[in-house]
Amino acid sequence: MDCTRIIDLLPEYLEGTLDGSEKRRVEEHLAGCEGCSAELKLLQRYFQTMAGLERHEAPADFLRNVHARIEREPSWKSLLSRLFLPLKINLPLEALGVAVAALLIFTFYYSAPETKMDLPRESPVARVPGTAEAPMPPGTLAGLPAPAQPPSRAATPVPAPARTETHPGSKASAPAQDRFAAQPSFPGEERGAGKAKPEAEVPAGAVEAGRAGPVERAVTETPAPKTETGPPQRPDRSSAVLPAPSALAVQRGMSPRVVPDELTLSVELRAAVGGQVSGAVGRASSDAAERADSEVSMREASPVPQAAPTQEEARGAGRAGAGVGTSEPAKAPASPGAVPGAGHPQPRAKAGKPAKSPAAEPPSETVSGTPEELPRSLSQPVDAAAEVSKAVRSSGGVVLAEDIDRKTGRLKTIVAEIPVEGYSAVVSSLERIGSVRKHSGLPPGVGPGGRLRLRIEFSMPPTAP
Amino acid sequence: MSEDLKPRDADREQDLAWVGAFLEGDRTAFDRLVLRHKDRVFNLCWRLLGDREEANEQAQEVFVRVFRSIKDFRFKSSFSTWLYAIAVNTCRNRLKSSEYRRRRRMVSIDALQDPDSDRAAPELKDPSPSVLDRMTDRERDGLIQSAIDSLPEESRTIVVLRDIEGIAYEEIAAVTHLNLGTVKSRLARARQQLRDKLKGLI
Repeated sequence: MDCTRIIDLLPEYLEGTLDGSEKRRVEEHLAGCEGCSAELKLLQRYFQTMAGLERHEAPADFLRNVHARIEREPSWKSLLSRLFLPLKINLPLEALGVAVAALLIFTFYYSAPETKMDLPRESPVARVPGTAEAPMPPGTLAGLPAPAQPPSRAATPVPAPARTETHPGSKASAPAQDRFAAQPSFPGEERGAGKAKPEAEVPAGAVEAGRAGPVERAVTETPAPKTETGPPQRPDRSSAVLPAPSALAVQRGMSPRVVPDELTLSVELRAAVGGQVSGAVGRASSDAAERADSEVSMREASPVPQAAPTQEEARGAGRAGAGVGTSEPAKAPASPGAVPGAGHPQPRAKAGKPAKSPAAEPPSETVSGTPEELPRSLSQPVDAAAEVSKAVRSSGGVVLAEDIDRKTGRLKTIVAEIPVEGYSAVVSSLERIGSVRKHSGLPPGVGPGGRLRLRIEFSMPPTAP
Repeated sequence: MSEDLKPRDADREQDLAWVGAFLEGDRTAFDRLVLRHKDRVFNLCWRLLGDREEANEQAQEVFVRVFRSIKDFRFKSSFSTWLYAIAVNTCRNRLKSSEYRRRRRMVSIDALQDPDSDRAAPELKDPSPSVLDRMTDRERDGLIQSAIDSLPEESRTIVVLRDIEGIAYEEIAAVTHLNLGTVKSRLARARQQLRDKLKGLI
């Protein structure tokens, strides 16, 4: 055996754990090797030193301190056990589910762009006096798919759907449920119900964008100028009910945003002006594109009472079967189980869709209430939406929404928010593409430095027979 | 390793009997287990953590954990093996904690400022025999502990368990969740590291 192997065996030799043959070989080697013998002595001294180190003894009050600690510090483990033992494995998993759900809700809720809420103010829903008592559906949050709706507490003949229990164990284990009373809860559970009281102060219109739940159904029982019966689905241009932004702000726990006063302009486009949305429009109207999820029917959300549905509306409702509250104020409310998007075979005009020639459009599609003859000085077709969007942006404003006729692809309405100082420039740009007529005067209280919300309604000139 | 440190079979049986009694609700059985093992656990913690106050805290924590998790003891190993595993894990967690590191930095600064501290510089290059002779046991102990403290955590654990506490290789393997061959090879390396640091002192 060489020295390296012997040195490896020396610890076990000293510990007396080598078997007989190995022990003899080590001893024979040590007898003739001074280096390994010296190593043996050093190792022996090392062992003696280590074993001879002072042994520290625990303090005299050690046991008492252990007792005190056991009594002082309730184990988190035993605490969890007390919480979860009744259901063994279920509750921890459910607690994890609660945590994940809460995280998702939080993420969606606070990542939703503020601008999504900045759609036409003062929806008729929000103004309906009879619905002010309607509480918020507990736990309703923006951006979430609408599950079975919790019942509205508003006085509505619509039978309230059964309250959805998303917590499978919540009924099975009452004690566990009690323990979780203070825990983050599921949307629509008791915690949400507990919060319903303060939220009941929120106008009924404070339902989230894209959610057409019991609140809307309650609204249909009121003398609202417009009814909202949109099915619960992602917002469509002509179906979703929008709340007043201020009410949304209250619901979201934010200070209500001051909504600028609104001015309605009517623009009858010149024949040469492209009234249809083209791909260029979709790209140019980036402001509006960003709000695609919140696009709504401008007319439905309009605070201006519509004396009578336009021909366009009537035709659109009749042909497409999309009369979702657009022109039928007394229309019965949609059933809760209405198929989302049933009346909206075309969600909206797609970017890149080729623009149709205005001349090819049936004239009756664009008849406005009071058309007047307009000069047709523009020789080149101009994309109206792009022009207006450009003018709005260059004035320092933003386009909040565009309403495009789904059947014809024509631009119907643009809602924009601009600085008051940019008003003249925007009107000038409108005058370049059509004849501008004011529906309402400059709202009171709008002064220099203020913001002005413009509702620009477009129509096409009647085609000469 | 002195014979009196080796747990005898009778002691092992007695430990298991006390564990059983404790599991049946006899709180005095837990106290007996604490009283029997507190000094070894305390010393182990001291050697692993290098500080009396830390050792006291963590040794208490070890027995608190024993109290809370005794129901997890499966009687497949000796109680002492299970106890050492808890102690090693507790000290390992403590060594990794930021609070421990911060505290150790403060201790190091204090030791530098205090010439009479028993935490002298760990490296003692070829001290003359006269210096060693003049050293008190406490001073020598401090030097060796400093050398132990300077070892990597795993090496330190294995050296302390084997060369100071005298725990069997198999038991160390069970405590550290390493196989026997790994324990032996790492122990050999750790010993060499420690002897290099203590060259001239032992």
